[in-house]
Amino acid sequence: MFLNDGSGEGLEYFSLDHAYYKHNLMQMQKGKESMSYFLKFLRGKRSSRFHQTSNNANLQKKNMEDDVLDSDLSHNTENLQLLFSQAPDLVIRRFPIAASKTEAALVYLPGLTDKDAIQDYVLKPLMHSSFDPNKELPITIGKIEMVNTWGQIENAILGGDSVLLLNGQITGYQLDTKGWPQRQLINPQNEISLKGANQGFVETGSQNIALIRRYIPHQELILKEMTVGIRGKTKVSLLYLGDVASEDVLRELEIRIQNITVDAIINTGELIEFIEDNPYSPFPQIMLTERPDTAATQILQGRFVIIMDRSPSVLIAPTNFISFFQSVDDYGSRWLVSSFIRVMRFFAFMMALFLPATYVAFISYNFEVIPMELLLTIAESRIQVPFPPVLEAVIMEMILELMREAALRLPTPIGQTIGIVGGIIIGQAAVQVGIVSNIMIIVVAVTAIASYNIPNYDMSSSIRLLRFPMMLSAAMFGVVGIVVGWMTIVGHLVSLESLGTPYGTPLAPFRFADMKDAFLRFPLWAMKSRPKGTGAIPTIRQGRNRTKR
Amino acid sequence: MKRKILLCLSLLAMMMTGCVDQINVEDVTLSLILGLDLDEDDHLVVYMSSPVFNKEAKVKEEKVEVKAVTIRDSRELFDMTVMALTSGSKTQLILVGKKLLKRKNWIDYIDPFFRDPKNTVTTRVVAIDGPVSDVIFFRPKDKPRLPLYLTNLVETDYRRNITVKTTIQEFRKQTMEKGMTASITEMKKDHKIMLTGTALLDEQSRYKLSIKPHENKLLRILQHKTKGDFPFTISVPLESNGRDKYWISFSTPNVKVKTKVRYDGHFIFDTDVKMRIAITERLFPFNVRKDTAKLQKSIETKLQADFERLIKKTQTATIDPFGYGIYARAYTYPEWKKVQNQWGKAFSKADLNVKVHVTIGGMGTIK
Repeated sequence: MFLNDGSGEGLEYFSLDHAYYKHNLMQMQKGKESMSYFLKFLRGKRSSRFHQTSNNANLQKKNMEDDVLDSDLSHNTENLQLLFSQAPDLVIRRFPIAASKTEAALVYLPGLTDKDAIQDYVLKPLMHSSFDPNKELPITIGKIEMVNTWGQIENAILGGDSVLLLNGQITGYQLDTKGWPQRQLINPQNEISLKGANQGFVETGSQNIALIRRYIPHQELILKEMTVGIRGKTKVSLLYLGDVASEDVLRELEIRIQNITVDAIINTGELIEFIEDNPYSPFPQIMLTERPDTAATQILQGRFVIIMDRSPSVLIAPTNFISFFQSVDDYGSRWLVSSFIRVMRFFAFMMALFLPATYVAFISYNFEVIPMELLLTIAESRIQVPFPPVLEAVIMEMILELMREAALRLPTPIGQTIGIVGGIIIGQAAVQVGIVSNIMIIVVAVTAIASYNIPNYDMSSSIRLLRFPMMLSAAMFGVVGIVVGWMTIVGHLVSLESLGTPYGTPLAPFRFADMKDAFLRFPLWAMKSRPKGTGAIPTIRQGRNRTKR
Repeated sequence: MKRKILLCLSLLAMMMTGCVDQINVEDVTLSLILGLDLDEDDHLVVYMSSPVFNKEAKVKEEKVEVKAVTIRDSRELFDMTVMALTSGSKTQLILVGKKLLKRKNWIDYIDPFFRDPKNTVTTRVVAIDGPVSDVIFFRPKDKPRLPLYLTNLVETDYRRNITVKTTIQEFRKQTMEKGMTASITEMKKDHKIMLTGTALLDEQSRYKLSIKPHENKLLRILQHKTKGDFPFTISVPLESNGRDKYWISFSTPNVKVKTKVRYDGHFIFDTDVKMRIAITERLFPFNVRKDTAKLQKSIETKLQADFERLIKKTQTATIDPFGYGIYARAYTYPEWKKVQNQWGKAFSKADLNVKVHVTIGGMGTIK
C-alpha cells in the first residue's frame, strides 16, 4: 500500500489503494495510537517513534493514480519499478524501435499475457520492420488504447494487457495481449441436461459473455460493466435486453452492486449474499447457473444475467420460486412429457419436505390414518427401535446428509465407496441391530431421491434443510404441526422478494398468464407473451405460430 | 433485547404445549376385534383380539376375555393384562353373540363407538351364531391373523353380495331410522368359521331372522343397493310341472330398481326390477338365440317367486330390512305419520308387488 523507495531523495509515498483503505488505515492507526500509549508505558519510548514516522508518511503521501506519464522513458520505468516493486515477475522490456531508433519499453506480467502475441505481433514488427514512426505503429493487435495515467497503466498490466511506452511521449499504448491460464469449454458439471448445449461457462468473464451473445446476437442485448472489490477488482457485467427488461429492477440491481464495499469477491455465491433481498431466508432468491442456454432463455424472458469474471457460474435475477423447478430440458422435450416431469418435481418437493415429518406425525400421533395392513408391518418394525420416531428420523436424515456431503467432498474413486458403505451399513445392519426401523429406511431413501429431483442445487439444499424443522414441529404437534410449518413456509414464500419483484409469482400474486409455464409446461406456441412476474415489459414474444394444418 | 427474550420465552411456551397427547404406534394395543356376548349368568363378556408385534412373542395375537359392565369398563380390564394401551381406533369388527343380540337394549353397549371420537366408525358389525368365544379363540393354521382374515372375509363376500357389510355408522343409521330395520353380517363357527349370510334385526334391534346368501342378493336389490356382483344360480321352470332341474347361472351387470308407493287402506308398494343378465353357466341344451323370450320369462318367474318368498318371510317377522318405510314417508306422509312408530306392523299388512324384467344381454362365449 505504501511504497517507499528508501533512497531518501525525492521521497515519495504512493497510495495505490482506494479511499476506503486509506480510511481504514487511518482508523487502525488511531487505534494503534491509543494502544501505543499503553505500550509506551510498558516498553519505553522506542515503539512510539515508529508510529510517529508512519504518521508522517501518512501525511506526506501523494495520490499517484491520477498522475500522468513523464516524457522521459527512464523516469517512467523507474516509476514502474516503484509501482510494482513487490512484483518481481513484472517484465520491462526495453528496446530501440527499428525505424526511428527511439527507445521503447514493453511492460507486462508474463503469467497473464499471451507470449506468442507479444513476440509475433508486438516485438517483431517494432524491432525489425521499417516504418514511419510519426504514423501508426505496426502492431498487429486488434485492441489498442491510449493510456496516460499511472492508474490506467497499473490496471492494464494487472488485467493482463501489456503497455508500450515510447521515449518522448506522454501517452502509452495499452495492447490487448490477455492470455491467462484458461480452461476448456466443457460440459456443465452440476447442471446435467440431456438436450441442452454441451458448453458450460468458464472462469473468464469475456468468454462467458461471448457464450451468451452467441444465443442472442441482437443490438438490444445490453452489457453493463461494473467493478466490485477493492483488491479483487472483479469485473461484474450485467446482461439484459434493453427493450424488455424492467428499468426499475435494473436500477435496483445496479445500486446494490455498486454499494458493495469489500476486499474481493471470489465466487458468485458471495455476490448473491451482498445483493439478495432477504439474507435470513432459507430460500435462494437469485439463481445460479453454469449453462449459457439457461442464461440466454432467462434474458429472453426479461431477466438480468450477472456475469462475474473468474467465476464459472452466472447469476440470474430476479427469480421466482417456480423458476427453480424449471430446467432447460423442459423446453427441449415434448410439452406433455415435460409437463409430467414438472408435476413430478413439485410432487418431489412436497415429498422431500413432508415425508419424514408425516412419518413422525403419523407414527406418534395419528396412527389411525394408516391402513391396517401397513400399520401392522410398521408397528412390527417399529417395536424393536428404542428411540422415539422423531429421534429415529433425525438420526437417519442426518446420516443421509453426512453421506451426501462425504460423497461430494471425496475424490470420485473413493466417493463410490461411500455409497457401498452407506448402503450396506445403514441400509441393513442398522435395521438388524434395531437402531432404525425398516419403514424409516424407505422414508429416508424416498426423501433423498425426491430432494435430488429438484433441478436446482440451491433450492434442493434449502428444502433438505427445511425438512428438519418440519420434523420437529411434527414431533411436537403432529399433523397440526405439519400444517403450521407449511403455512409458515407459504407465508414466508409469499412475502419474499427477489430484487423487488414478488418471489411467489405467478401464484402469489396470482398471474393467470404466467401459469402456462408454472406447474405445467404449455406448448411453446401458446406462451405468447413474456412472464409478467419479472417486471419486464410484456412485449409479445411471438406471433401466431400455431395454425391448423 | 427484551423483545428477543420475550420471543424465546413464547417460543418455548409454545413448544411446551406439544408432545402431551403423543402415543407411538408401538405403545398401542390395537383391539382389532371386539367381541360382545353374554355368559351363562347373562353377564356381559367382552373379548378382544389384538396383534402382538414383538419378534420374541411366539404367538402374534393377544386374545383376552373379561367380564365387564360396559365396553369402556372393559378397556381398563384389558389394560391390566395386555402389553400396551388398548385403543379402539382401529377396530375392524364387532362380533355380537346371538344370545346378546336377542336381548333387549343390547345396542346401548356400543355407545362409546359413537360418543368417543377416538374410536372408529368404520367397524363392521357382525352377528355370531353361537358363542363369540368360539370365534375369538379360534386359531386357524391356514389363515393369517384372525382380524385380517375376518375383515377380508366380510369385505370380499360383500362384493359378491353374499352378505351385507354394515359399518357401525350405517348400523346406527339403520337402527335409528323408523322406516327401516337393521341387517348385519352373520357368521358361524362349526369346525371352521363360515359366513352364513345376513342377520335381520327388528325395530328394537333384536335378532329376528337369518337369511341365506341367495336371499341376501334379493335383499340388496330391494334395498336399491345394486353395487357389486349379483351372481345367481337358479333352476328355471322351463316346463310347467316338469321334474327336471334346469340349472342356469348368470351375472347381472346392470340392475335397475324402481319403487312406487300408494296408500289404499294399506300401503301398496310396486317395485320394478330391471335386469340385464349375462349367462355364465347353463346345464341344459337350449337355443338361447331362438327362444330368448322363453328363457327370460322363466327366469323372471323364478326370481319373482324368490322375491315374494323373501318378502313374505320378513312380513311375518314384522321387519322391514328393505327400507320401504322411507318410501312410505316420502310419498305418503300423512298415512306414514300415523303408523311411524309401528312401521313393522304396518309393513306386514302392506302389499308388495315385485315385477322382474330380465333381458338376456349375453349368452357366454359358446352357443
